[in-house]
Amino acid sequence: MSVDDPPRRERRSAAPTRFGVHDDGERDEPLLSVTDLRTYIRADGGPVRAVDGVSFAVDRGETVCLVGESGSGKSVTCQSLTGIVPRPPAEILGGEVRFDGTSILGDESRLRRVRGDRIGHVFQNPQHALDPVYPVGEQIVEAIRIHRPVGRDRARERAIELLGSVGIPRPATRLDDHPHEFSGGMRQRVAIAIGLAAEPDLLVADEPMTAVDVTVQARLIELFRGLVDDGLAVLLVTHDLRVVAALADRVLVMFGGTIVERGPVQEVFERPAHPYTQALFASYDGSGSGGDRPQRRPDATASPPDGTVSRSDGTTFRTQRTPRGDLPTDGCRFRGQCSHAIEACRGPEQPRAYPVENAATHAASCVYYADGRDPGPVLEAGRASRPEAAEGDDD
Amino acid sequence: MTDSHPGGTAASEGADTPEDSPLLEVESLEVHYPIRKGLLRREVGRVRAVDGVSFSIGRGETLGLVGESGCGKTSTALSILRLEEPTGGEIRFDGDRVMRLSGAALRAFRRRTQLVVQDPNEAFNPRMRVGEAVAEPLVLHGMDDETRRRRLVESMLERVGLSASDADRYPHEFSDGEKQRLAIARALVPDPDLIVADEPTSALDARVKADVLALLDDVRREFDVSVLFISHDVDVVRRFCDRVAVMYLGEIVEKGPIDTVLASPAHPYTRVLLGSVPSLDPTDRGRSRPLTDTVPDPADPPGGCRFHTRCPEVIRPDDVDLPADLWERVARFRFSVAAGELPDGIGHDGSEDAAVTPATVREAFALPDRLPDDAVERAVADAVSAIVHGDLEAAHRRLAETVPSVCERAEPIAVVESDRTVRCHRYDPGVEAEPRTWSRNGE
Repeated sequence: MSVDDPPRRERRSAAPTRFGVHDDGERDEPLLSVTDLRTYIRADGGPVRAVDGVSFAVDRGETVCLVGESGSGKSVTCQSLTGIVPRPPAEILGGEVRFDGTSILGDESRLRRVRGDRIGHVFQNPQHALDPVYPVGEQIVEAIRIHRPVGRDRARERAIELLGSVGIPRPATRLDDHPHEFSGGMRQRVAIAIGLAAEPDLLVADEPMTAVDVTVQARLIELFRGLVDDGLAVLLVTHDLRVVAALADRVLVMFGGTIVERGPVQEVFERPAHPYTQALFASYDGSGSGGDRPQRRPDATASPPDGTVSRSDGTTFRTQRTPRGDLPTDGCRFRGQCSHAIEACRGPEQPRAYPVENAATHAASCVYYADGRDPGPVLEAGRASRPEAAEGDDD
Repeated sequence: MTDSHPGGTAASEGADTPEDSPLLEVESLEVHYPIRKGLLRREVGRVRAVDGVSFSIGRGETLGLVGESGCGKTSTALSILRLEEPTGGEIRFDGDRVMRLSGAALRAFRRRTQLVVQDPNEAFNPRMRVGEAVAEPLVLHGMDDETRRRRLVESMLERVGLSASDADRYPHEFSDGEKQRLAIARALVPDPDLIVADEPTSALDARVKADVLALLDDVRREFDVSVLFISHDVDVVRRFCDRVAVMYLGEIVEKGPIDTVLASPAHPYTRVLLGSVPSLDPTDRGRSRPLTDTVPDPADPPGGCRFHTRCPEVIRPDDVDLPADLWERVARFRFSVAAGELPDGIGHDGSEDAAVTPATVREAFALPDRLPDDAVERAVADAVSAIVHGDLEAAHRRLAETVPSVCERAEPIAVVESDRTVRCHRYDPGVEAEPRTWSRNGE
């Protein structure tokens, strides 16, 4: 580590970069790096380990998608980055978040400089981001002026530009409209415009296209692609694998507060390696006729609709009664629902991220991929769950 | 479900309707909402939420109703359940005219049709044990015997994958997926013939969604229920439905067997809708694109075919002498100007901008310096120059008077194409335009 230290210090003292323009200094450190982040949420009957040892990085101009179902810790992860997670009940217990060479976690004055300025946020429900009693232009102007020393007129011009760039027709005439005068998709674009107001380097977007129609979603996907082409880095939270396929450079799959699989989007879609990823993909099978396809869920027989899952040792496990309460808090969090589970999954530590089929960048946190073990059966199940199989119907 | 049910089944068994007639027939359904203004609440306009919709659902059949928000799916559903008063048209349930039902016949109808809503959290009273909630329809329809109710409810809870003892719990003790199972149980308890499911899985996670769908599919076969399944999720509709009807701005533009419509959509709107769903193949990132993104106001829908302002396949007028691709660009130009959807950097603030020149406007819409058709070229040139001067309105007027298409002049008729119905001029033998072939990316 000591070898890395000097350049890091140099970067720290460098003048802050603004408006997405970066000095040309060499950067071997990603824009955002998160190491062993832990955020627990206080609850009756002990803390919920919402984020339990999460590490990842986002490079400049890269789109990283964080996938998982509700309660997997995606949103809490994002909110922990800039400290906007409500505390209490949440508590950030540990880990490091470095942004552009600086450690920001727990440093409120640094966070204040970064939050909304160099890291923008977009939330799922634009209603939460927009104040219904103020015109949208006012809200964008405010977002700009909090972070930039510009006059009202200049900020207004900038707001028009922003609204135009997120695809709002006749932005100059819409500036004085209130949020309720916009359709859902348009409101989401306004929320994105606010997230972009200070020209951040990183946009953290939590399910930004979940509540919109497919045609609007398609437009938002194009909008994000354009922003990334212009150098923006995006951390996108979604549970929609189709959105992931459309946007991601890399994918992080979360389950039970841990990242269970990570890799380039094509690798993960080609070879979903972790049993949870496979279950997720299998549930996605869009083929209705389904003729030549086997059971949609590899563990479908083990998981009748009553939410009872049989473990390989013969005991049963009840799923979803309290969605998070029943998950193990050590070892592999998915083992209770996994048809491949073995003794080694019990932990105590979460399985390391092992490379999948010797790929350097694709890794699964599953003991089957450990040295000397045969991941064959798990990979075989993965082949059956590959989502592309469903695409035949589209063409 | 061997117990007999309250309310009787006289309407279905005693009636002389043949078993092969559809369970539900909807004919030219219209639901218009008045827009009122001023002190006297005078009607100044009407939102045509549903405007002449016809379809039928056979016994045991599942029909998917898809379309974007605001297209009238939910208004259609509520009218069918007689939870909303249509302003026109006819709905027949098992041969009876729904709007004429009253008294015992209406009560029987209420028992035989059930609704499952999108958000299970809104479907249950938090202070009522779920057993009581699921039994409520039985109470309402006159089953007084409490032990029998309890027995029915318990067996139904087990059927939907919960346990009999769950009847004594409260809604908050259940996950969303389980609540949706409860909603399904409650809908099934009165032994209905038709379930209207309005986005029943949209609020659920992928794996839970798959399970709930599988359950719905099982029980609808087991209990031989017809389902009207409203969704904007093409994956879900594909998996669950026998037939599908696609709605746009209050009208059904295409309907037919699920495999036919989703594998080879015929109507340009269906194509745009399917082509907007991202592929699960990360290497395939194309999409089919409507001419404009703006959905017209349902209070003032476009004349002719309602989709023509966004239709990438809008028909070229006979007197326009342009190759198909150039025509599409001119149409895109025209309707983008009409909708105010100008590309970044052109005409944003309506004032004159030094950077906007005729060349940049043409470039933004991929229009060549000169179009081969003189009349169209003159209109485009005038419009371009109007845009450079910041006068969108003039540009729009100039384009509208020169390039009218059959699509905006005449309402398309419903054409039966083998096993599906399409409302598009391209399928009308009386119109000189051929249907185009389709591929997912619109190429």
